[in-house]
Order: sequence, then structure tokens, then C-alpha cells
Amino acid sequence: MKLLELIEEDYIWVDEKLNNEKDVFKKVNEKARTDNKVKETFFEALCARENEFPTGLNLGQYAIAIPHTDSEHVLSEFVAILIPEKNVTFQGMEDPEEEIHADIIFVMALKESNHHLTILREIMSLIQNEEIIQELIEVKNKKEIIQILERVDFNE
Amino acid sequence: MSKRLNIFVACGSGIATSTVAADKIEEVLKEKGLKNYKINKISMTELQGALSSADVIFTTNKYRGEHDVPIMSVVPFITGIGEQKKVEEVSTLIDQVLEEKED
Repeated sequence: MKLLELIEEDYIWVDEKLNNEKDVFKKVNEKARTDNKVKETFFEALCARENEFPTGLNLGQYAIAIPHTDSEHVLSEFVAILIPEKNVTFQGMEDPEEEIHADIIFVMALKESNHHLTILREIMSLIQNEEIIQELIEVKNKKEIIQILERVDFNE
Repeated sequence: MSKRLNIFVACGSGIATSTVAADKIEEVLKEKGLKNYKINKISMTELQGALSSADVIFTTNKYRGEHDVPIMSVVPFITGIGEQKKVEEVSTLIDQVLEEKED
């Protein structure tokens, strides 16, 4: 299972107006419900999980968030990428008191536990590359995002 | 022969970030030449139950409960930011734990 295999243009949002994490989750849930990729419980599960164990990660110059749920709420796997017009405030994974202004949000909707690991590793190698993050933040359309991801060598 | 070091690594689910962190911690242990240890991956909700048997616990989320066992956050192993410094901190903590265990 590769990150790219789970990313579709329909699940990429660029320059979207998103005011808070709920907006992010609504956006993804609405689409995923329409496509029957998640159960009715997905939205609440995503919110509850983020509330209890936040996923904001500070990367120095940038910040991201990697919200996810338990696999039981997912019918068909995907990873959504949201690059909002303005960063969205999440709480920090390490310290929930800390506000993280996420430039990029990866919502992981996965079924298999070993997929969580593979996908997370790929996202990690992605986010540890500042140039790539910078490129992603500057893109203006969905196709460019996929092209950038295609270029990244995850086996580094 | 030293007593076995019982290590727990916890994250929200006990699946994703804990596994990534656990791999890194294992690297640190091997680097130190340690062989007698066990690394257990658990979810944050299972953490309280692990307190009685753990020598040391590493987490990617903050644990808010009370604890006597040393607990250290290892988020730098996920982001790569400050990773080297964290490797040293983990190494130092392991030394301390081992020392206490021998007493």
C-alpha cells in the first residue's frame, strides 16, 4: 500500500476557506459519505479522536496535522490532503495546550493497521523534506500536488 | 546478567505513531549495545494499566494522569525536528532507568 494509491484528486482541497478543524472534517466527511467511503460514525469519530489525542505537528517553519480514526469507521481507504487558504488551528500532539497552525492537513481514513504505519512513514518522509512542503503550500491546483508526490522517493 | 528492561511505547491508537517511535527507540537501544529488553506498543488508554509493569514509557501524546514510572514524549521521532537531541535524551533516560533497576 502506497500513499499515492490512496490519493485521488477528488480528495484534495487547495486554497479552501477552512476556519477550524471542524470545517476540515466536514469537508472530508461530506465527500466521503457521498462516495460511501466512510460510515455515518466517521465524522464524530474524527472529532472525538482529535479532541482526545490531537494530531498537530510543528515542523519548525511549517506545521501539519494528521487526523485519523479507528478503522471501524472506514469502508474504503483514502488519504485526503487539504491545503487551506489560511492555516487551520489544531492542538499539538505532544502538548494539547499548544496551538498548531497547520499549513497542510492529511486526513488518514485507513482500514488496515499495517497501512497506518506504511502511510504514516511516507507522510513522515514527505514532511521531513522542507522543500517539498514549501512546494505543496505554494501549489494552486490538485494535479500539481499529485505530480509533486509522484516525484518524491519514499524509499530514501 | 542484568534484569530485562520493560519498555512501553504509547500513542492514540497504539498502531501508527507508536510503531514509528518504537522502531527509533529500538535503534537507540541497539546502538547502546543493549539486548535484554522488551518493547510493547500500546494505546494511550492502555497506558494506565501498563504503569505497574513498565520500567519506562515513551509516548507521542501527553499523558495527563499520575505516574511514578518515567514517561517521555518522543514526538521528534515522528517529525524529525530535534531528532538527534531526542535520541540523546532517550539514551540518558535509559541509562538512569537501568541504574535504578540494578539497585
